[in-house]
Amino acid sequence: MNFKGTLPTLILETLANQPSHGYRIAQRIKERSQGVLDFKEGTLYPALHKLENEGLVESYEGVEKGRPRRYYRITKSGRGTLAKDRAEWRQLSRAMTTILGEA
Amino acid sequence: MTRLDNWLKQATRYLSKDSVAQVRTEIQEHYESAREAAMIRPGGVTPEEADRLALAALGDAKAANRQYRKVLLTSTEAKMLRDANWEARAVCSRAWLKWLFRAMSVTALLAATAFFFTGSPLLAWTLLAGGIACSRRHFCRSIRGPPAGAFSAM
Repeated sequence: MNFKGTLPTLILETLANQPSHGYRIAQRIKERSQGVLDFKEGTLYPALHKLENEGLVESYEGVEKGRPRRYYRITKSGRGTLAKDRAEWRQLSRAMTTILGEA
Repeated sequence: MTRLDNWLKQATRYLSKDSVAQVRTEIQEHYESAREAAMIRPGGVTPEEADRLALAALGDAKAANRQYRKVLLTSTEAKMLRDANWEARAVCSRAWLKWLFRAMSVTALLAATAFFFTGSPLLAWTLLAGGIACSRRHFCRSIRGPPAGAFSAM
């Protein structure tokens, strides 16, 4: 299932716990949604660059298993955006549940 | 050329040289991780199957290219920045040229005021707009450069 436009929020949520590199971010999203939320991994990096351009995440060079990797971490501004996105999602989710529950 | 190279070629189309290098690095890292994970997990697959799975997980290269072009510098944008930079350097390195552009703006403003009071408001507005455009083009842009964070790679 692919919820258009939700990838940036999912990335911010994944990075809220700890910094990570692209591949791990993709795997965490899939694991945490138990495979329900699926997306093409080639679109992950453009989304990361967009978040970086907006100042919501920042990147730095790191090393994993002797290999250089680009890690991403959430910024203070990113945490603010995530909190806002969470609130909006809860509101939307409640509204949908109310409507669909009545059907 | 491998299938990954083909994918990268399509995904980096129209991007600037530096953006291409950035995309190649990050996608190759990702691809290698996906490939390794497919082979070492219980009931792991053959290297060929791992290649196929890792590439399939990346998805459509053209869709990725559309996304990349929105957030990374394209070759056209890089050329525009280079040209603007050249223009700014050309103007700023010659004091007389800087003064000429400043004088043109002031002259346009004075002429616009004169035309306004002599009953030619249309000519006055045209001169005023031209003066503003001239000063913005040759000074503001050269001093400020591109907006901060507008492009992550050049």
